[in-house]
Amino acid sequence: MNNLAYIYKLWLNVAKTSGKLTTSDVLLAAKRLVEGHSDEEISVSIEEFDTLAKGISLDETIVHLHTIEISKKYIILINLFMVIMLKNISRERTNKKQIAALKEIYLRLELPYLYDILYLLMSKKYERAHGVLSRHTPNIDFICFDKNAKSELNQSFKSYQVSFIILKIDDFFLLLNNHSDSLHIYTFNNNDKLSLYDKCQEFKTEPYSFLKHKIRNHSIYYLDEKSFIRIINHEEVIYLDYSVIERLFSREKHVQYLVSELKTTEQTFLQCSIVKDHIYSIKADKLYAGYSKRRTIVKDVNFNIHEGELVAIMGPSGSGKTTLLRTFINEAKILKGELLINNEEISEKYFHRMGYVAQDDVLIRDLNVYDNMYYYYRLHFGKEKSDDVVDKIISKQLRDLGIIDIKNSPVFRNGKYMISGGQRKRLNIALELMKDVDLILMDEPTSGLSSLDSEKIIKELKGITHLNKIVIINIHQPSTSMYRQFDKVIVFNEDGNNIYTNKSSEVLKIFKLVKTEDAYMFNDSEESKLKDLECMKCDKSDPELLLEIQADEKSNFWNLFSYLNNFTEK
Amino acid sequence: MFNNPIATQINYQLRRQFKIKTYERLNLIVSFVIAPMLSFLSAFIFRSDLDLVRNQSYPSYLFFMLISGIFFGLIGSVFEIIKDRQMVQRERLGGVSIFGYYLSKYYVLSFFGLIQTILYNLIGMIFLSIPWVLVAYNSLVMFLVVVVSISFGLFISSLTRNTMIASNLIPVLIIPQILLGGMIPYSQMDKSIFMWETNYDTTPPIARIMPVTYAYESLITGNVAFTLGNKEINDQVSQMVDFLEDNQFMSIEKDSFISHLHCSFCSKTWLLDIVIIIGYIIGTFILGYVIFYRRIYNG
Repeated sequence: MNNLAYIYKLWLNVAKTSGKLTTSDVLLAAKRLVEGHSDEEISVSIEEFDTLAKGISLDETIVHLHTIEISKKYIILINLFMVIMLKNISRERTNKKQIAALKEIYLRLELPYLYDILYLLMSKKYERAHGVLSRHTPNIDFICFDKNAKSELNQSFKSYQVSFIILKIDDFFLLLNNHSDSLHIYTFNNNDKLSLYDKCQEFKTEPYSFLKHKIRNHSIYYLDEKSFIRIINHEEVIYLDYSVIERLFSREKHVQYLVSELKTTEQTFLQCSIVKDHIYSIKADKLYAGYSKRRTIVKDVNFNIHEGELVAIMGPSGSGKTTLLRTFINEAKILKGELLINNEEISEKYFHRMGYVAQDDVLIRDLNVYDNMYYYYRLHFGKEKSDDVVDKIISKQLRDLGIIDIKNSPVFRNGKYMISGGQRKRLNIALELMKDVDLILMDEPTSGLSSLDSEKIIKELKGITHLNKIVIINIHQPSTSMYRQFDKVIVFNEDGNNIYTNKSSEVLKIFKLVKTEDAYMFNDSEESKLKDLECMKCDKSDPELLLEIQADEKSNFWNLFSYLNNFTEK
Repeated sequence: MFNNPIATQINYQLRRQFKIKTYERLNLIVSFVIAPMLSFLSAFIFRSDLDLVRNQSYPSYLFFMLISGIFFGLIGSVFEIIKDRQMVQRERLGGVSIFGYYLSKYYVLSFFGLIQTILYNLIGMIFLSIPWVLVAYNSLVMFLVVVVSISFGLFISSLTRNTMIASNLIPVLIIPQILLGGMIPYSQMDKSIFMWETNYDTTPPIARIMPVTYAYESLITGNVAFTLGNKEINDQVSQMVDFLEDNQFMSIEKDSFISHLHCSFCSKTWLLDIVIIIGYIIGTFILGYVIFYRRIYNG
């Protein structure tokens, strides 16, 4: 109650600067959204809050906000508050006091650029907002579909009454606020924008038997993964790609996103914990790492990774791929340069947001699959949830990764494994996903697996990145289809030098050069040289070249690669 | 972190460790069968007379009971951390307490060690007609030795990276304790083991660092102290103590021992030895945990 009072006070103080918001407006909205209280209870609460509000300054409130452990619902209240403030701003742009107060809050909450973006959005300056966002979040595939942009889309959408409101966050929140009782959320898997039309069609007809869960007054329907929300607001149906909104808010330490809660099913809702120290970017700048000063394994590593990316670290055996992964979890030392998470030096506070899956299985052999997961969950999250709820959470994770059938199987018995290598890898991934980490580090996830299993695992990892997670893997010899899933590739040569980091498609172009140059240098047949040169001109990249090169590690390919890379850069 | 209280973590760690230990039923049964088997073998060999009062080999039975205790403790613990190391490293990323893990491992191993101790002593009681009071006391001392060995085992397990090295270290810990634990007369050993000591009637310094020396001394003096009410047994055990002392089998200072027998000295000695063994337990636990902590956090 005390915490709530402080947040309420925060609202009230700022609201007073405009004189537009009444206590009941704010509290009614918040209560409806968060608690689902009756009007009578709200009116009683208003009196209580008015009493509490006296004598607390804005400064004190904000300072206190930093010190308290902000639970999910309070952060939602902040979100709502921000939105209501924005609505006021859009009505009265000349109110400098109000803008200054809002800006101060954003600065205090370490959200300066978000303030700029939202302010521009409210002023309907979408292009400029887009520009600011792009500068700060270059990885976001920013889709700005307003009503004008919609007309340029496939006309077929109109027949399904689809409107895309991505950036009008105020409208979205207002909708939730005013019509929360009629809010229905449907979600479905949409990994590919090109299939949006088909997905919408499926959605319209609702071919799936949706599971329905109640959270407060909201009905939530869901399928396996969640990429889109459909909001039914009286007669109007709105499809909303909440991933953009989610990204906007999830980048910030102190602001939890409303959408995340609403999309959550009953089980995962209970599972939700405060997303503190959420990892949204990783940067290495001239990083040298190893186990001692005399044993520098990886050298001059440079990369910039953002949430939602699947990154592969590639290179010959012994080039330091594993060492780089271990640097994240402090098992290898940073000897020179920087490894930054969210632009801060890597520290223990981020460890609980990371999951490390070693090359070898890290399962307890003397427990069955279920017990491995059960105790892992309990040790991380305690005894708050009943065994039934934990059972549902475990089942969901196993089902998501396609290993529900081994739930009660022993891991190891009578001197041999009772589950396959692929199943063990998946089980290791499931353990980390259960922790809801932001960064998953996997050392050779496909080693020892069949090509079919390997491809499945990589696809699953790619699917995980759609939940705004970063996945970094070491991989030795990816197949073509696996390679196509990677967003970025970090390439090492045999001396541990990071010779290249770029989008996976860009890497292939250099490999083509290597292949051509190598053909020339090693007196390959004229025919193949010509063929390669021919291919150089085409846009289509062929990852098979990569495989050929990797298979011949003893050659000078890696160094040649580095040379050609520098050459092409010049 | 995940805001999960340490008490809750220890609770679940204990449950998990218990489940792990009981998972392989056959292994569990074997470990529980070995204790009474060794006890039977030892009692059978060291039974010079069916009557305990006339059984001159009783001290030898007690000594091998301690060696069995060391064996149980070491075998049960020496591979435990090696095989879990990666798992612990992974869990600590999520804020799972490694102290909780270490403590629960210690508790669970001690619990199974206690069962083995009781089984061992029950069989000994049946075959050697040992009175209840001595069985209880012997069990206590043996259990303390088992716990010391578990501490040593976990220490080795934290220190080493593979099971081969750990296996090779087991005899390094057991053999010196057999040699210098007090069963073999020090007078028959090379004088260099006395190092700076010029009095060869005393216990060599190197033997004083062996927990078994204190445990054996505690067993013998305790057996005297706890049989005061039974004159016949007490006299017999006292004679054994005299014999052992005269032949330098024990680390008790001879002068003080002879003058204080029957038995105020005995009552103090067994207690003091138990305190020393408990000191060993605490010391090795802390040392083992520090090494474990450093291994997990510093690689």
